[in-house]
Amino acid sequence: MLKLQDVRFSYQGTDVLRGIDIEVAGSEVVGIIGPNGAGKTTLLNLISGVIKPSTGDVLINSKASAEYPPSERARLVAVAPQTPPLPEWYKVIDLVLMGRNAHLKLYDWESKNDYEVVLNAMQMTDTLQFADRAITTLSGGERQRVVIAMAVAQETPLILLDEPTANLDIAHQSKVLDIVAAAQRKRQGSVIIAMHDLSLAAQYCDRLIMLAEGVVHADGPPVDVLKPEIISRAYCTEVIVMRHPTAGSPVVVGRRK
Amino acid sequence: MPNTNLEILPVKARYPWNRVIGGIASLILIGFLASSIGSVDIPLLQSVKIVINKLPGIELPTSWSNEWETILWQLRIPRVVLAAIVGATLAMSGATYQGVFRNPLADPYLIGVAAGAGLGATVMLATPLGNLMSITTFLPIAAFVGALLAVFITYSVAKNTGGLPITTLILAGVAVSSLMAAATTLIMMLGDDDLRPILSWLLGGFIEANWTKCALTVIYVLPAAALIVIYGRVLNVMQLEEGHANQMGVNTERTKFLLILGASLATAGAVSFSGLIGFVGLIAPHAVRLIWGTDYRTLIPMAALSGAGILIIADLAARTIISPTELPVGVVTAFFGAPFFLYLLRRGIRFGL
Repeated sequence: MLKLQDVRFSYQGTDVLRGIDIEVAGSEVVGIIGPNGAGKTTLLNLISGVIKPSTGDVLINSKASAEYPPSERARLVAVAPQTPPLPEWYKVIDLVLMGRNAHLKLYDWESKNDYEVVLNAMQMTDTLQFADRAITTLSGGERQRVVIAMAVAQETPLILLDEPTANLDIAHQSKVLDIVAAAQRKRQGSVIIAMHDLSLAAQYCDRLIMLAEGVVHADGPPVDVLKPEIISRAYCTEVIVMRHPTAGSPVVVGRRK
Repeated sequence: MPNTNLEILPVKARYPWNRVIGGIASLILIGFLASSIGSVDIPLLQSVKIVINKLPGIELPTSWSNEWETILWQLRIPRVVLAAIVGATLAMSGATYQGVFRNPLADPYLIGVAAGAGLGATVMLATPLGNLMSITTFLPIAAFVGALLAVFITYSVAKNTGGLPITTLILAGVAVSSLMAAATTLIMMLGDDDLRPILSWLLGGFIEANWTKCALTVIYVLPAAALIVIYGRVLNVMQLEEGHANQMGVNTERTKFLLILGASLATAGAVSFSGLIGFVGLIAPHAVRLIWGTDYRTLIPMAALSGAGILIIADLAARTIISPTELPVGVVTAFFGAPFFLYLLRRGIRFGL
């Protein structure tokens, strides 16, 4: 499905990514973790084809992501950016309906099926209750769920979520991650999630890819990636790794100096 | 998670025919009222009869004078129709520029497109170039070239400051407008012909409206209108930040290019036969957003109908307020539009009201 080969990306003379190799096949929930400025968002933008790699290939179904016509690509990859600006005064449902754009011809109006998909996406993200409200009236976390609903409504085999839980309360963090991951597994698709919260990532992802200084620092199941020495080297700080009492996944906490 | 019934929200994905038809009906009524009023008042019913009598295959018993018929059919109705077409065009183009630039203050007049079209048209009218080609045919094409030049300059200046902030686009438009107006004046002064026709044309108005002008304007406006209406849904998605719209499957570069081209072609057609008329493209879309919301599929046709109504009424005011002298219609629209623009600035620039 997705293959990155020796991907490099420089922006204004700075090397953001310096040779990335990643392959995502089958149905996976992949977490992208790493310190601030490690290139997580850049990586997502490269996959979604909004930017092109300086060198190397980002391949979706063996074709370069940036080479796809936007509508075709949007049927393969959906993106929920981190706090994107949204047009004020649009109703929530009208925004989520935009997720169906790639499935519609230019002059098509949304069909009953499109509405069903959209309402379903809104139910999954717990946004149906304010379907009729203007986006301006929502809180940060509610807006974030709307953005995720827009991506879910695209019904793509690959969904990219950029910091989906940054503004969410603890209930919605687990709810949204659980449901998006379950929905993608059901359609044999994958989710790639850029996240800061290591413990949360460990709990919901099958696989973690840790970026640091523009390269893949570690790649594998959460238990293999979230080891104190690996984290310390990437983040340049001391951490303690424990086990989640019920889930068994690694829980990472900082060590006060 | 609340177990919400998915049936609660009705599918509303249908063309807003009832609104459009209601709008057309109101527009026809406004048109007849405006045609009946003037230095010679014609009863509304008689006006309707005279027009119905003109329809092919219909003969009504004549109950009106030839003078009325001439005034109505040769002067007032073409004038009302041209005002309607131009008003609809400016409102549609304004709404389109607002959508493409994600800028609620964009208007063909304010971003310099109208002045650019004026410059293009003046080049045709006042230079030897005009003698080489048929003026009526090539005037809109010259105006189109000027319009595109202006929108290109405004847009590239505003874009390079990053993120196309709302005020930069308008400031760039002001500068481009001034430049285009200066070039227009210079060309006019260099030509040794009588300047009055060009001057009165630049001020904007429908005094010399006739059926030929109506038909010629429609030729330029119709293809642009078709394009813009077809892109209504995509224009909604374009309201997202550009990369986000692209991830939603919109070819943003192509969409912007086509829509700017369409709106500029329509503006050029309108400006060629009516001169420079400001603020209709600002007022009409804002009023429609207030009443019917932000969906461009409703906004575009309803803004066009409202723009048509607004300009018919503005033109009626222009020719009756200080009758027998006529005001340029651009003066009337500026009297309402400029304070409205200031109001938008004052309360904070955003879509809707």
